[in-house]
Amino acid sequence: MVFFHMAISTNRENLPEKFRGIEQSFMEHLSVEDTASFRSFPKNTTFMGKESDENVILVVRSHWFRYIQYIVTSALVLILPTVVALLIPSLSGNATLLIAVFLTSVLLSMSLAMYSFLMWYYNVNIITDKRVIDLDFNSIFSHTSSEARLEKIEDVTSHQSGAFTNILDIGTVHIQTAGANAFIEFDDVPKPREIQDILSDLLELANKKEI
Amino acid sequence: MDDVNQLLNNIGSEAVAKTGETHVSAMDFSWFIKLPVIIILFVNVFAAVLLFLRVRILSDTIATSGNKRVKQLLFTYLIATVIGTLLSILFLILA
Repeated sequence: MVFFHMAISTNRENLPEKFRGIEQSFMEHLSVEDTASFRSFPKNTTFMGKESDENVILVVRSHWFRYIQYIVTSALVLILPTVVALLIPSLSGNATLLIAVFLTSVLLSMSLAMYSFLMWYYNVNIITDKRVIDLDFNSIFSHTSSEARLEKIEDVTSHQSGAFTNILDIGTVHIQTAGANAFIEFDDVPKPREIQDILSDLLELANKKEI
Repeated sequence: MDDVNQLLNNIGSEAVAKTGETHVSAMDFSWFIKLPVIIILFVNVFAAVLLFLRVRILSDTIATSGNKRVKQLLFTYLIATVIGTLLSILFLILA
């Protein structure tokens, strides 16, 4: 705890001005991890409709484990030509056809890997000092973008279930809002309890007009 | 005369039977593999183009520091997919 407090104190000059004097517990959570899946006060991050005095506090992406089925499928597709060649022995004699099938499997595997990477990269959740944004890349045909201003947020809960979620410390954060779109969900994100605490503290600060 | 005619008829029918048999079996086997592969390749290119367009929209919605690198990666992927598909179709034609 003391270590984190010291780490924050020494790096305060890198933070936006309005956060330098804040002593809430969420400031400690922001420094627990700095990865592409959990990045606090990121530089050069912006979004459509961002206000000039708005600061991005946290960018969270789903854990890679959510896309494990795509990674496994991608690997399986790579070994598919070998399986086909074993099942159809006469194919082994036709080297040109075998090369074509192998090239196709490489292309398919590459597409699956790229698709899973982009799903991870663009399934992004952003917490600012004014709002919460949830961008969901559902498929190549659709995406959903939802946002809620902090003053509209009524309740924040985190949910973790299953063995792997405990091992990897991932879970879902449910944000209940007062609007017509009643729920915003951060699906399978790392450190869900910390995110819940960050949001709760931000709501408290927003209600006191301190941010 | 009859013998000559019979001989010529036999040669003709044998040749046609052999050619037809070989032709039909080769067509069946190769197209059983080639047709699904060609369909998969076209669907893959179509999906790659759609992915490229979708990412163009998403990168306008949210811009992070890695966006430029992701766009470059996606462009490289699209080019590799098109070239790989053309090569694969070429090999399928040659096979």
